[in-house]
Amino acid sequence: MFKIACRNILRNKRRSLMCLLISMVGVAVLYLEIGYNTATNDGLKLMSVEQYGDLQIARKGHWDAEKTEQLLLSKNEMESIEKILRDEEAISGFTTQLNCSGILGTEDGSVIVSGWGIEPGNNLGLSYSITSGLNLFPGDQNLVLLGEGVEKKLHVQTEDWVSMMVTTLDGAYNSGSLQVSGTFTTGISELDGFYVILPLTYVQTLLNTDGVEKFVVRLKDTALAPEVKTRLLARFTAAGLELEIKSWSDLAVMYHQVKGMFETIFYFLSLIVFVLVFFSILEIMSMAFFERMNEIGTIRSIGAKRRQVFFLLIQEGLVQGITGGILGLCLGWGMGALINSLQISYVPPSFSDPVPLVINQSVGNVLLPFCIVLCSTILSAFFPAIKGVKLNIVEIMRHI
Amino acid sequence: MTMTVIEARSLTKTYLTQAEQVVALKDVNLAVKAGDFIIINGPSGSGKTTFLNLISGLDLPSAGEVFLDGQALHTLSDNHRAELRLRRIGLIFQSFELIPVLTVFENVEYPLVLQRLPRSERRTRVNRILAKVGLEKMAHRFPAQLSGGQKQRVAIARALVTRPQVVLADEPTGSLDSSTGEQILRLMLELNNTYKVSFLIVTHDQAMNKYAHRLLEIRDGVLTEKECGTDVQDRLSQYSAQ
Repeated sequence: MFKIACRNILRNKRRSLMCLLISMVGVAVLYLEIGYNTATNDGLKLMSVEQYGDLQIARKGHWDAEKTEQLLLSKNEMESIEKILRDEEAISGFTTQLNCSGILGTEDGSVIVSGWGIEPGNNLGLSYSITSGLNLFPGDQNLVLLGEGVEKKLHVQTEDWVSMMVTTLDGAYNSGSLQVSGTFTTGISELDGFYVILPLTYVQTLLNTDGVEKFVVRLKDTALAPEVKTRLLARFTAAGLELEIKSWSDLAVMYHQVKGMFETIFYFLSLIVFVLVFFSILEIMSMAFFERMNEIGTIRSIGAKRRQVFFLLIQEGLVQGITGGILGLCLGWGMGALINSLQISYVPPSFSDPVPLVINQSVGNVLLPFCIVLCSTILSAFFPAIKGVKLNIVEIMRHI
Repeated sequence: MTMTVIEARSLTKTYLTQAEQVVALKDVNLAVKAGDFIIINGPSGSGKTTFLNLISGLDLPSAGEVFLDGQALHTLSDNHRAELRLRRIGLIFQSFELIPVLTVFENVEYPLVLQRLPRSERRTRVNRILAKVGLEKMAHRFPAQLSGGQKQRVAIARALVTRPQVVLADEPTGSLDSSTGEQILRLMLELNNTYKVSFLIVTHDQAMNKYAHRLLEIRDGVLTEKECGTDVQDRLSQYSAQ
């Protein structure tokens, strides 16, 4: 049976080649699309983990509160948390953060900024790259890193002095002077025009507190985040600490939005490819089966059951689909390798830096495009096959 | 007592066209015994093919019954009738109807594949029957590489390889020249004698009548028995002597 299916495919080479080309292009397009999606999602995931850390720990209600200053972690709580974090083997490092908002100005002008108060030298939970000047180092007290956009708005340079004015936790105004250590970019232009990075101790002084907003934790393996989260939460509760833990996935809203958008595009594209492959091959298969109606009649009159003839015809779709699928994957892989080797880059919306156009070539991306086109090809053989076996043998044989 | 292989009782087939009801077969009765070599004559449109379709279970009668191996075909499902055709009936067509993508060997083997016989048994049976029809050296050729007579030999081998009880042939010499047609008829006669398989051949070629064990005629859907001249065994002896 299988032999007949294979030889029938080779019988009309031009028609079979057309079927193969359609399935090949379908699989290749979907393979490239899913490869691009996976690479983009992986990049976004990495970016999100760098930005948020694997886990963030804060007082319960921190992420829902309008004024997070009221929910800072006290010195005693920080010590307890640190002790528990040090005992956890899956953790590779952690840091504390205290953010603030205020006005940053010079004699010539001012801008509203949001400040990330970090432990200098410990960049966990903050993804940025220095574009001019120097980063903050341990022991730095009154230095500030400006986002590229902030620097442009204030027209300042490295080593210039700026003033920062904030409202303390008690509601009073407080201000201080800072020297520009350098400028940074997060890769997202909107953030670069709004954020500055300050030493944590400086922010604590400005806000008149010794507490911090949250702990940012990095794990040895990001995949362990859910189980470490559960474990830590249990230990914090046991220690009498009312804390809330969020994983990078809980915090990375943009990652989920972009991932969802790419998935929607993929499903839409899959649907288009499925329909195109289905109707193109349906037409070709119907023609092929119609031309072989006498053969079908002979096989049935010899004694083949309807079911056997049906599977014989379906096998042709299956062979076409598998062959086209494999060749399509080879084509897609080749095109993916070519795209990757060309090192094409582009600037996505709201990004300030170009990102490389990468096609993920992992084995996991093979299955879905292959299955979609295979199903479409088999289904396109299904209808002519059903029609073929339903025909009355006498009617078919009348044409012999 | 010779066993009846196929029996048609009061077989009637009518077709309803837009204008009228056409009677293709009218109250046909026939019993085919084991080893029979029956030729049915009749002009085009007389109902010969309709009769073959009914007794092979390809079509169902409007009235009457067909018994194959003691089973009434009209009571069986489509699959069951296919199974009976596969195991009990061999079919030969005017235009050979070989599967073009299969070799001679594979064409003959095909019904045995449908029967799910083991490969070794299939090979033995096919080689034996190909030797019998004189095509053992052409086993790996494709139908397109054969002459009309050779193609019909392949079709005969395919019909006989399942060791059926009866072979039904519809105009088996219709696409052949008279000399090749005669050879094919003689081959069928020889196989009939060797394997004791019943042959029921419908043809409009009166020249073949001399080989018939029983000679019948269909005209306007009515089957009548005609007198058969010479004894078949004598003819076979003459053929073998040649």
